[in-house]
Amino acid sequence: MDEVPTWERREAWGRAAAIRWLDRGLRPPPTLVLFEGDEATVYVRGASRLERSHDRRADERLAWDELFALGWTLRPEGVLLLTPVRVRTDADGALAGEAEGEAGVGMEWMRRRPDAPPEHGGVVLTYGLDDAGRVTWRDREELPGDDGPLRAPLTAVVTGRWPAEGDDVEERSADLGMSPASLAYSLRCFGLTVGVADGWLERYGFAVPLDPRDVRREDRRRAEAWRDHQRALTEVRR
Amino acid sequence: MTDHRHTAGGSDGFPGVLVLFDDGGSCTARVHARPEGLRDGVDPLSELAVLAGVTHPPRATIIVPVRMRDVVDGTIIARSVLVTEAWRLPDGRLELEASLVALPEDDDVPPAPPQPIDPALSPVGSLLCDVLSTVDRSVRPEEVAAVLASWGHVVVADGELPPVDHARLGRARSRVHRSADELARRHRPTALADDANRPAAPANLPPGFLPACPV
Repeated sequence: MDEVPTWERREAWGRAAAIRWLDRGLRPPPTLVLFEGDEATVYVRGASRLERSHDRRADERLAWDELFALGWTLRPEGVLLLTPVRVRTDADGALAGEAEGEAGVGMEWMRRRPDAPPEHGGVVLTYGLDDAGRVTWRDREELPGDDGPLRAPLTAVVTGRWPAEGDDVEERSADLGMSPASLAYSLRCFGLTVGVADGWLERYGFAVPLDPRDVRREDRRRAEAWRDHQRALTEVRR
Repeated sequence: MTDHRHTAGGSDGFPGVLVLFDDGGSCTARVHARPEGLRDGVDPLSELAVLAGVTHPPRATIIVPVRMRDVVDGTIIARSVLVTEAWRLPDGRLELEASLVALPEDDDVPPAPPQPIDPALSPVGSLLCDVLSTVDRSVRPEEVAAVLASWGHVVVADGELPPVDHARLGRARSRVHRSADELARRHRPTALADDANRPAAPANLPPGFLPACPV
């Protein structure tokens, strides 16, 4: 992965990130990027391994919840979601996700605005192979209006509110009772890769010692070494 | 269809191999794992990985045998090796790649080109990233090599290793065992049914990003 994700170049970045997997014959795993302003701060890559168990639907639901957990806790200004999708165009030209559809990549983004509903958009791209066997993009469709399939969880990430039936809004607590550091540790144990941009570790609260109650027995020695390292850093600063 | 769960044991008469590389990409050490025993406290792959943790090379590879089974009736349809490679970029980020190489039935046929697979599916991906990102300074590399050799692994190093007093390896032996035991419980590289419980590898991040949790 050679490109830094930015809000301005989000679609180009998503294309490059997807191509990196597609070129090797793999489906891009679900990826969530959180933004503050133009700057990407947190990168969460979902666990694609979950898809191969027999109860695929239950596993995907589980993976989605885990993917959004850090976003709900940190509540960033903007969020970008990159997912593998199946695309089928109906007779009336509408997009529909279907198992037998064409393989594609979906991107959906949302950004908080002061005194206005969040800005929301997305694209669905399909791909194929050219004569030389390389992956090339074929069609590009913008998501129509406010109609993204994952609008609800993305709204929850940037505003903390869940759209309920109709125009209602449901407030839910995003407090999981653990620090972002402990949450990142737990997500890693579940198979999600979590990266934080340099400089945002302290600002988001990742650079705190883990709560020993959250740490598994086999990780305890590492956690203690990390805590001692942190303590040494603070003593030097003082 | 492949069944990745029955992979990394080295139980196909082909032991796992760990290869360490230096900055120039040439091989500095190679370890062939001992056969896996029924009463092992720690699996051979975790024991090998301690050497990588101690020497802290910029690039390492683990090769393990894989049996591909028919999902319906469970018969073995192909034998392959799973090659998992991890390397450190100059800015400290880790890259991880995994590929399958199918082994031909007879020796006259050259093996097929490697087939890339999702590195998250490799049972040793998180183990490799762990040993490449943290340095274990509790033992010296030549002691680890001697301990591994005494446990039945075959250690092939490029160049001469400093001499080790074999009568005084007790301390090194217990430290290598403790590190290997911890790696085995953290990553479960040979776990059969428990692979959904394996941690993610903090690799393939965009530039400028660090793993969120160092543990």
